[in-house]
Amino acid sequence: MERDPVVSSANTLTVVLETENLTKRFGSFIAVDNLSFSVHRGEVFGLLGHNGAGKTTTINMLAGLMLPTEGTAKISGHDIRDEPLEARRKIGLLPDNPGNYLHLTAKQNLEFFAELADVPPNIARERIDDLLKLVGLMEWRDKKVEIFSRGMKQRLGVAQSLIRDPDVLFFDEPTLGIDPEGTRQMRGLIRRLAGEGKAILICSHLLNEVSRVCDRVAIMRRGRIVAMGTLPELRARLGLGDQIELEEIFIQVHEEK
Amino acid sequence: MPGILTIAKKEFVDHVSDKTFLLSFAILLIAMIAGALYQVQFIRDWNFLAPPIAPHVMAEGAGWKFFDTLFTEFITGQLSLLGVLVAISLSFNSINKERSEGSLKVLLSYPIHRDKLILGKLLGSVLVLSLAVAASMTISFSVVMFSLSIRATADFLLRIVTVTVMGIVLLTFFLCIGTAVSTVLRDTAAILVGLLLIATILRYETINVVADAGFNLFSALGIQLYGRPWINDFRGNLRLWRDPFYRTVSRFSPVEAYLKLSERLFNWGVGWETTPWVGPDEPDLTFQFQLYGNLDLVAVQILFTVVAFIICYVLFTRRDVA
Repeated sequence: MERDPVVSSANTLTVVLETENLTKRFGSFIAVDNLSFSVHRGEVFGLLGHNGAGKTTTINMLAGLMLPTEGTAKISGHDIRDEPLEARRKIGLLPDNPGNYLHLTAKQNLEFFAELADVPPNIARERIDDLLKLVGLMEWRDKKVEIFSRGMKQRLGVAQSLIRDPDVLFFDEPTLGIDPEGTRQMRGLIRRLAGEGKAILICSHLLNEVSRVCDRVAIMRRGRIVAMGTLPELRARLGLGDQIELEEIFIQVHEEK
Repeated sequence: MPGILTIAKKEFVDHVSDKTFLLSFAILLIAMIAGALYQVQFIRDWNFLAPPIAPHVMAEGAGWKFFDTLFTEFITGQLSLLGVLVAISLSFNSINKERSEGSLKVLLSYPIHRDKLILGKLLGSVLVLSLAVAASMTISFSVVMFSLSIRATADFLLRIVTVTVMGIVLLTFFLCIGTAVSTVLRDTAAILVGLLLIATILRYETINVVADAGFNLFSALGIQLYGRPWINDFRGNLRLWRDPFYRTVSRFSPVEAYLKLSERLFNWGVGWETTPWVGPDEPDLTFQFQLYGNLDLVAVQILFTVVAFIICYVLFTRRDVA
């Protein structure tokens, strides 16, 4: 039987991701507004919200794709403003579109990213094989990605995000467009990576999936975090019963504000 | 440097395995070979009208009095039109395709400086363009030389090498402009329209309209001021206003500068439009002299390309490109 991770308490050993008043403005539009939260080693943290709530912008800033307008974040102790390269060495990114090169094979994709991450060739060879086994694509290693299903592309994306052996993983809508079996595999993969000590930040609007895989969640609305905690903590805050699902909490939080 | 080479290698492989690039390169090659064959026929027809001069002799310069175009319009002209489209398609692939497939986000999340990323991308694309231009020019000029029995003298080969290198510089300009536009604009249709507009504005026909208007104005001014539509050059020979004016206008477009340069290197100077001067003496037709006399056109192309590169570099490294 699958566990209900949101019910379990957060792993509080080591903070590997910490944001402090993270803000992003595009002209007069505030996409992300004073975001402050932390994620611990081995924890799966979910950022929830409607489209346009600021989830992807938050990940984009943390992954070094854009600079914050104000505030900052630290990844394994490295400030994303002051030490951007060091911070990026500690992260892995799986965007909403997995970002594989379709004309290359699975192995060639990983070889390219390993070279880019400056992983020594002997280590890279071993790591590529391990990762392909981990994501269940070993027998597909020499096949071009263009023939892969969406789920396989997502899993290869996960392998790509792990090639530099990061401390923190950012997964943007990791189960979007995947069939139920692929979703189950992805869920298992995420829990396994968390079990190995990776901190994982997931952006999603698929509440059912998030509730099954995340230890804690933050609900975003118009760029701000409006509620954060484990599922029991959120239920308690809203005075809801034990059987209430995340979807109902999400709706209540949005109505409340 | 390792990061740049990794990206460049990948970019090179991406382009040469891309069907759009292969198709556009094939079209360019076919158009240039067809242009070369047409040019051969054109020269033979002229020889029929002026039988005392054999085609290969004319092609080597002795026939300069009879031709105002030799290889320009049908070989380098094709390169400056279709080659530009090839360069634009490469730049489009390089940024916009990566963005729409999500791989640009992944690339930017790696611990590599953005300047290395853009330098690697441009290096890979320029290598592909260089190979495409070199192959097209070699094949096209070989067709002409073989058909007209032109001897492969050092002078003639240097002219080919020069227009080939400057062709690569020209296409690099459009590659940088294409990359800059793809960086700024997100919408595919807007990018394509923007790039085609830029390419059209810099085309020689557009520039010629400006040149013609200016020529008419200056001729009228010349007549008003001096009672005649020509001026004296530094040698004391007479030159029409049109010649220096065209030359000035061509400095505003790398395409026109390229076409003007190749025209002057291959026409051996014909008529008042293209010769360095008009007078009773034949001009010096050696490669060195002609190149030296047209260094401004070379400089124009290099300057445009350097500016385009700087724009592209600054935009890619300073903006939110993902």
